[in-house]
Amino acid sequence: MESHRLVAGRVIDGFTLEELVHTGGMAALWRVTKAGETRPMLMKVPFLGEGDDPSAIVGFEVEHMILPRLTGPHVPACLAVGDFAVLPYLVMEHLSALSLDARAKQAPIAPEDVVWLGAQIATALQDIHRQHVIHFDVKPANIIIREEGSAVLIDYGLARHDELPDLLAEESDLPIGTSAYMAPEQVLGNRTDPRSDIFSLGAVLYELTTGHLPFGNPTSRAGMRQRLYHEPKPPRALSDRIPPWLQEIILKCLAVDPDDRYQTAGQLAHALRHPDQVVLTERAERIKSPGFVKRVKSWWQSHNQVPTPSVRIMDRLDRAPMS
Amino acid sequence: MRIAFFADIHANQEAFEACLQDAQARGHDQKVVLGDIIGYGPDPLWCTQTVMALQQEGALVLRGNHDAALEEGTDQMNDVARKALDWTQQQLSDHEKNYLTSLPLQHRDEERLYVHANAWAPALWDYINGPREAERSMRLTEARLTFCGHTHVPKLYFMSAQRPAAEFTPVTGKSIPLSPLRHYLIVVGSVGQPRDAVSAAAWGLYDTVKRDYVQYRVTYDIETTAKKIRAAHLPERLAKRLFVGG
Repeated sequence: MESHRLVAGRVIDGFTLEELVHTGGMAALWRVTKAGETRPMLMKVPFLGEGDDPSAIVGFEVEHMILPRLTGPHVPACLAVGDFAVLPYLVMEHLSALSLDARAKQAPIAPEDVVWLGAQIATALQDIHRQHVIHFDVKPANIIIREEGSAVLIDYGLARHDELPDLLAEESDLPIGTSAYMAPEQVLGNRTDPRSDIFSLGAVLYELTTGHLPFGNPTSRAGMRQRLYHEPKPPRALSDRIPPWLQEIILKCLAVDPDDRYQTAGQLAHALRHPDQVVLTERAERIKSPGFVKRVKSWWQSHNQVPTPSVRIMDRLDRAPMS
Repeated sequence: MRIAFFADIHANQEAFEACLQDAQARGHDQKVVLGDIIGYGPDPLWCTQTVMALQQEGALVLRGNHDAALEEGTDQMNDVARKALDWTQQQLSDHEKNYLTSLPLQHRDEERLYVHANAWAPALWDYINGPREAERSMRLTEARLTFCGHTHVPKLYFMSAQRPAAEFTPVTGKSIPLSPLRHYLIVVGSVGQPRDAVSAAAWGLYDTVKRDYVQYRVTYDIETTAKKIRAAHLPERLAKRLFVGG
């Protein structure tokens, strides 16, 4: 197919392919230039050839729908969209900074740095939620911090837009997300709750402060479901440098029931920026897991409520007090 | 090309006028009427004559089950629909009746199928009430996009080759990009008798170049339509339901 014949120097719709900067399982990323355009740009071209993973294209379809609808500093600016029937591609702003993956590999990092990063990422999340989008794959590799400090969330291949059909809804019988960071409701196949992103951000903060993943990196469905019944080890059990209020915030993000988490990313950002206002509970000082029974009780409570019809992202945000 | 779809007009002049005006204001290149021009409502003659004139100007017009019942009879219909149809028979001349009963059941245009009820048996009028029926319909047509009416509830069903169909309720006025890699079945919603708890009249616009679909809703003078229904001594329920979209 077309995408395999891409070579440096080829011009597509006015964009010149300069250099292949990344090739993964799903798509190739090219650095491109265009006459009159000074911004650094990347072109993402999905693999569509025979023998390519058919699920790769689903993620690209989703990103192709959602990215052009997002604006602001917390998303890579979408500069051009290729016609799907000819050659599908997305041209976006080329962010020069590395993703947080590199920082995560150096974890644990200083709590004050994690707090600053967390507030930046939560602000970015609040901004995409406000634009009707749930990311569903918040993890260090999908977060880039701009030089001026704001966080950018990249890769919208698993995202959902509140006002568009969810092309992933019937696409897989397996949970959709990255195992280590996925919210419990996501493991159960629910793709309607923006608070799933808050859980994932909690897992990122846990990893950055402790150097450990709160629920490991399970590969089986049963392994992923563990987070429904088992509390993660309290971060302070792994590092005594972590202040109780930060542990309070991280464990609140990781609550099994979305109602027990921060209700908006804006509230989480506020808490990270105003530690004096964080209400400490028993979990702030915890240094041992509270055990299986408590988590199961919490899970049982959250799953035995009268089922509510799927709630729109904006409705949740509208109801929640904003910081 | 921008195609404006109108389904289930059901002899509601005020709703149809409001939709036509809205479509005019937004711009379009072609009109498609997806059947059920008459039945339930108080203005079958005006609606039929309007549709005939639109067809003269290039609109595509399809037959719905109420249009067909003018000839086929009302055996499959409930009491209210039957009473309305008996009344409608008196309002139309043979000219309009012949026009309505001889309309085509379906029309294929490039990758698009237009049909009132479903693709698997257009003359049997089975409803598409969920993803299962939508999938059945999508698998039984070679057209990648199906536009239909009949249920009076706006929906968009989508499906990839190896997976079951999924359902989405379009958000009014929001453009939905249709992926060229999937099959879609779009229930346009009803002009003259919406049943999704929204009283505003529904119509839809598909852009073949941008490949996006937008569902529009238009408020109209329901009071007037309801008065006409009562003046014609049609069942009261037909007036009441217009106010609640039910």
